[in-house]
Amino acid sequence: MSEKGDMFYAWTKSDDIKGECGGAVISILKYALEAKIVDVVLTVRKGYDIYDPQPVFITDPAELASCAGSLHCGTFLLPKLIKKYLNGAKDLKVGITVKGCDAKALYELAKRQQINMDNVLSVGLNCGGSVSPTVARAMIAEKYGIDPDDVVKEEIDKGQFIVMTKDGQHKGIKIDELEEEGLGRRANCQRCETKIPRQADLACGNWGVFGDKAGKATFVEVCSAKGASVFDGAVSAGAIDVCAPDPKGLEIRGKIETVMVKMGKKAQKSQFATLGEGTERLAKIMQDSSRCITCRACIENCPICYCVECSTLKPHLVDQTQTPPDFMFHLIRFAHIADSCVNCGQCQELCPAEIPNALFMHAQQVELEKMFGHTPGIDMELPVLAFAEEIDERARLNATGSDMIFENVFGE
Amino acid sequence: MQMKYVTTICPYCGTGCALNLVIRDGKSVGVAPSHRSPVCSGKLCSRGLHAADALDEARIELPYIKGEPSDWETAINKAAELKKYAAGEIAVITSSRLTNETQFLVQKFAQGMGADIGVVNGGTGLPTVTLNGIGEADVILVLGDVMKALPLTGNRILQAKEKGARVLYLGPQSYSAVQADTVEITDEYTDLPPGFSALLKNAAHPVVVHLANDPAAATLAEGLKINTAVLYETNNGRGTAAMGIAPLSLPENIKAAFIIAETPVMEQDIYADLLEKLDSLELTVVAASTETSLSGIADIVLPISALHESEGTVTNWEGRIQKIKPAVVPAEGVKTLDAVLADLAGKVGLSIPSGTPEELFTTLSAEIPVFAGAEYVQIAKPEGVFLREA
Repeated sequence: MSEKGDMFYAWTKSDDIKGECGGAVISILKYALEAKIVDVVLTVRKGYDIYDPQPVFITDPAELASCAGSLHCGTFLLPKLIKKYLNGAKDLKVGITVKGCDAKALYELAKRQQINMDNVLSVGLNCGGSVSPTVARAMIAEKYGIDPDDVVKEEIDKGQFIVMTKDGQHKGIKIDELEEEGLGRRANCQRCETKIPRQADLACGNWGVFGDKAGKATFVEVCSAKGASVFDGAVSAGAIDVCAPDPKGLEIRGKIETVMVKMGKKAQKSQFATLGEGTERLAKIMQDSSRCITCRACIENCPICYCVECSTLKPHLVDQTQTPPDFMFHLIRFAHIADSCVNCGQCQELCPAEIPNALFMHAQQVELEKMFGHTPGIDMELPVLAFAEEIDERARLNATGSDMIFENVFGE
Repeated sequence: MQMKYVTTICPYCGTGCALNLVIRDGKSVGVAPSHRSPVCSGKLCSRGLHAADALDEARIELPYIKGEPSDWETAINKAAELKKYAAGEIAVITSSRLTNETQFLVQKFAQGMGADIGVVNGGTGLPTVTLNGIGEADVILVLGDVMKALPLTGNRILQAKEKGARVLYLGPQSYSAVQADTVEITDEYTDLPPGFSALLKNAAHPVVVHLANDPAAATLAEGLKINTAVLYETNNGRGTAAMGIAPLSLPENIKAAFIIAETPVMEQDIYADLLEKLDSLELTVVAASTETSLSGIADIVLPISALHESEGTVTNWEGRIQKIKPAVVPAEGVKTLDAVLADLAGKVGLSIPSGTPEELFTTLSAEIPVFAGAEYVQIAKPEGVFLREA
């Protein structure tokens, strides 16, 4: 029997599952679906090509094998799909694969009563960062001199972004070098410190698989009692085989994580420096925000935003007839989100006006964390800034049965 | 519970952003970004973000005759009275939102009937630059509020500006004016302000950007002899123009009209100028997927499937042919426009091409030179395939 904190090498016992390194992730999810521990699996599958990972909602266990393998151009966030399309897992049990930002988003949505975590099984995936499909293709054509359509696989290993072509050619370029030119991973991924998502029920990846199991097993860290129970179930059901990890592997995994977290902190420092300080920073934020077309994609895709009646739609706060909108539009977003921003990058990735929204929000989050000691996305603690009596207030709001904060707070 | 994403092309402007329609149990319930799209990289404007609602709103599900519900047989028989009218008395008024394949059938139908054909909300003109070309420009002259009309094309102007390009603007006060570095506010543009010409002349990669239905801007742009982005405001305005279908001008002695009013909600005022004239005709047949202002004046309304219920191709302003995919099944009682045209052609004794979208595309690419060489299967690539003249 495993418990929280245990670590294993695990690999699939099915010939059909061709995973990235052992196929344990898909095998565990398949077991969970077959055993009816979950009703649906929300994960990612290759779409048109390797640059086109597509979210999929799978109810037929046989279909899961098609989702094995990793895709580094998957730049989206899955948890908000549970809120939007699966009724917050309130009446349906969901298995989901999560990167660090997904795992953090899941917690923030759960804190806000938007997702019922009791009905969610989360399988964490170690993530060194993702690359926008458009950037990846341009980079492979220009920096690698390779037709992006000829690439059959890409991976990030030992500080390099490596591509493999259909005729067996390998080419790697240092990520540092790519990123200095504005290529490589998304800017928010460069700043990320959540490389092994221990917030999930299980955290899986290939870091630390050492010795004869290298490339053939998945490193699994059990991160919760639920994770332990599903993992043990998958072993008992014969879905996966396991062995103890090589001690040297543990050491390597630890080192990789430490190095990547350091890189994240370094990127934060250099990226935040481009914003300047004080009024200079405010001026920069106001200047860039004046490109806004009020499409609301930042709000739609933010895992923190959930209000039924968004304050940015109140005419007494934001003039609804003007484009670009008043700066108040962005001030409302900052005030509502900054203490809880998980740096998922969606608000920037999907901004048609090229506003570095995630950079602005993350820069504020880091400062607020220094002041108040609250780290978003790591546990179920509520943000300290939101309300002086947040916990009591949440309980009162829950009792009203409505999530409309404005109405609940000011409507009486 | 069955849920899936269907990757298709936004039904609104001529930028041609890809998007994913989220389909739950056969119904479209939302829009999700398609990060893989080389056109938009997953970014969408407010119209694209709400495409799922717009495509399903105000749908017509029954044929109507003089405002009363009818059945298909009666309605088609009545519509076939269009054949009574001679050339010069009848016009086919098409939509710039149909797929290339269906537009081709509409054109064939009009030709067979001897009818004039024209498009509403279309445009004219050939761009000499693509989206990527705008992004790489060093001086961009924007004529009119193009960034509001085609927000994700506007995105490339913003990208160029971020890389150091200088943006010049001539036109009314607008969002585009706010984004430009040098601005001349005017309601009419006949000449360039003095400083603009020198800046364009000294640029290494100057580009002028204007809408395809803005003749004053087109004249001004033509005189500059630099790369021009001609922006069509609808998802297939460029494809429609490439087939030689010009913006509508009604024949003087018009007595009857067949109008294809495929248009998502949010832009139905495009028929405002025509309503009075159309109301005075002897026979007005409207084929539409949604209620429009035309429903009130039409003698016959034929309900057709909408853009997210059909397969086919559309051409963005760049000349990039892209695939649209059926995401949901149309309601019972609704027919595809292809089927309606086939029925009508049969009744009036015309022969028009038929077949699957792929067969129709093959036929049209063999017949219309600018489409030549484009292969249907290749169009399914996220990059699409460019028209020969692009």
